[in-house]
Amino acid sequence: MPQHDAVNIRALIVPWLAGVVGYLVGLFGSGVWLRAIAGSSGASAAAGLSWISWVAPPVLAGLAAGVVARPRATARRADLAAAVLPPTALGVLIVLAFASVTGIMSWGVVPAALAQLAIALVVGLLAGIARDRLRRPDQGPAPVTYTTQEDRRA
Amino acid sequence: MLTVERPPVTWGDRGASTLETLGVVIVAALLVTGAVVGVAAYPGSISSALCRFAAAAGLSPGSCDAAAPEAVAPKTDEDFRPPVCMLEETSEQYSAEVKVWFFSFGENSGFIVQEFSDGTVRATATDGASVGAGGAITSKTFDAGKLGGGDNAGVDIDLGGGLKFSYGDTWEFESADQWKDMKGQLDDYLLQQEMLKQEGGAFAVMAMGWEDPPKPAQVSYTKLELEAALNASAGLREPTGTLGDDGKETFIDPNVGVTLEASAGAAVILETNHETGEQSWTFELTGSGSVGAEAVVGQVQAEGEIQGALTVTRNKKGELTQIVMQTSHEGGFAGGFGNDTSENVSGSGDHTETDSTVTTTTLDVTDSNRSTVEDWLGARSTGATLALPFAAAVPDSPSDDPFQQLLYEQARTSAITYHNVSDKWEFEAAVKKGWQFGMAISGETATSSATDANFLGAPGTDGTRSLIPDSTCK
Repeated sequence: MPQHDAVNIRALIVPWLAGVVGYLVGLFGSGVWLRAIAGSSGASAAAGLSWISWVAPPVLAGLAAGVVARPRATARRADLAAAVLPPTALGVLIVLAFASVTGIMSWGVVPAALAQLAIALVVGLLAGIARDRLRRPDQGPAPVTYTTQEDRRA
Repeated sequence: MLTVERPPVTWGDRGASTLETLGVVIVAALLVTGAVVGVAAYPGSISSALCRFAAAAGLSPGSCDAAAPEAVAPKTDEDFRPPVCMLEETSEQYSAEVKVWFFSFGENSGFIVQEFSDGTVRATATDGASVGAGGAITSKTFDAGKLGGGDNAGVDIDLGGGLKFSYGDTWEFESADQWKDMKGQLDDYLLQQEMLKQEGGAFAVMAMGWEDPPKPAQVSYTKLELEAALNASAGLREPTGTLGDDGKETFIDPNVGVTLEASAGAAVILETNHETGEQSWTFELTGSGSVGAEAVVGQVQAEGEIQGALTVTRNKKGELTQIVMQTSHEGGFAGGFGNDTSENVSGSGDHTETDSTVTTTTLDVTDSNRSTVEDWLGARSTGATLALPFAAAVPDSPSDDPFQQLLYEQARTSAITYHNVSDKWEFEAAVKKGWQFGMAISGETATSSATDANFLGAPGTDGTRSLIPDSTCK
């Protein structure tokens, strides 16, 4: 296998850490925000926005891992999945364990968790592509060359 | 080879002195321990025996009688000051004894919150019905008919989120901060339950932090119809703690001497503290206001009556721990007690007709006086009517009756006169609610404009206990 096709595991550690931090910031940051909403607008308003705590963690995890991973870990866009999915899966497992321990586990949590993985993957790919575009902008048309008749004959 | 002959070893002798020494030490230690324990356990007996021995031997000429107990310091007025009293407050939600307000929780639920002068707080769950404007507590705020007990299932207080309490469930807190903590916990728990109803709510719950449900209520109330008291299986009758001739436990029978019809509608409220195991039975008393009036359980009287209540409290072992007698009647105490009291009741005393006085007499029952009180209660199960002489509720004079003498010597009595009572019936209803549920609801704000708090002081030189203004209650 060519060297440039191999996933650099060591280089993935930093993106994974970035993904975990992104997931936790999304999770608990949304919790603080919801508490503020509950305090200002009431419990029903906070309950109506509870989906924020479901969406924010995978979005931030995918964003952080995708952006950090692209130039370091892999040369292939498909390999972004290796940078994005593990930290998101770890966050999902923590939530599932919490739900199991506290007795609030239900079948609805499972598809919600799988959906989080999909969200993180999509966001991570988009973030990686965007990062590529920003680092290697289009070089435009080939430069114009000028040749003479003598040059052609030579 | 040079050899040295050794004497034969006699193992049985080796260490003999050590064993003997050890034995002596053990025996000495046992003697010392026994002496110390014996002196500690029977200090008077041993010193007395030594004294007699010394006297017999001619070593001591003195008397060997047990030392006379130290003189008991005479009780002062402070010893008779009622235990809980509210400092003067100007808020309309304050009565003379307690601050009471209603804390709404949702559309059809809330808590009657009482903050006492010693800082403790009680919160009682209700359905929030009949709360006055601005959350004011009235006599209708707490409805005994909604309590469970007997055939009555009682009203559930649904706070939402699957959190339900029984009507009357009560929490006790050592401070207002603890009550605030529980309020916050309730808010968070209900929000958490609302979150869990949403898709992916588990993520929001973890994000906001897990909240346990509030602790169960320490105190619950059960309403027991007086008629049910006649049925031993109802468990209503207050056990006296004594056994009858047949070896069975004896009970107060509050219906003795009262016809079934007369007792219809009367209720006994059983208060149970699930943490301490303590139980209190509150019997509603109604009596005539005539001279020599006796408040009789379950007996319905006409106007001019004395309203009253008798609360009997027992600990988890069934031991009597407290007796509380409360009365309410029109009139003040300007003329003092005794016959003047009856004048007050009949409206001919030196007072305005709109004055009403509430007395509360509390006797803490201990090992030293328990037998006297048990005898008094037990006597009610032998055919006598459970009667409460009004003089017992206001024990200002010595008595030949051992129980009333005990009240005179040890009970603490508060007397709060409410002036300018505009609605006598509302006032009395509010007071009775307070008796039933341990709430010092006076209805003061709605029905009265001022209070005058007094308590019975220590016996004076004339042998009576006189009223003393209770400055801490003003």
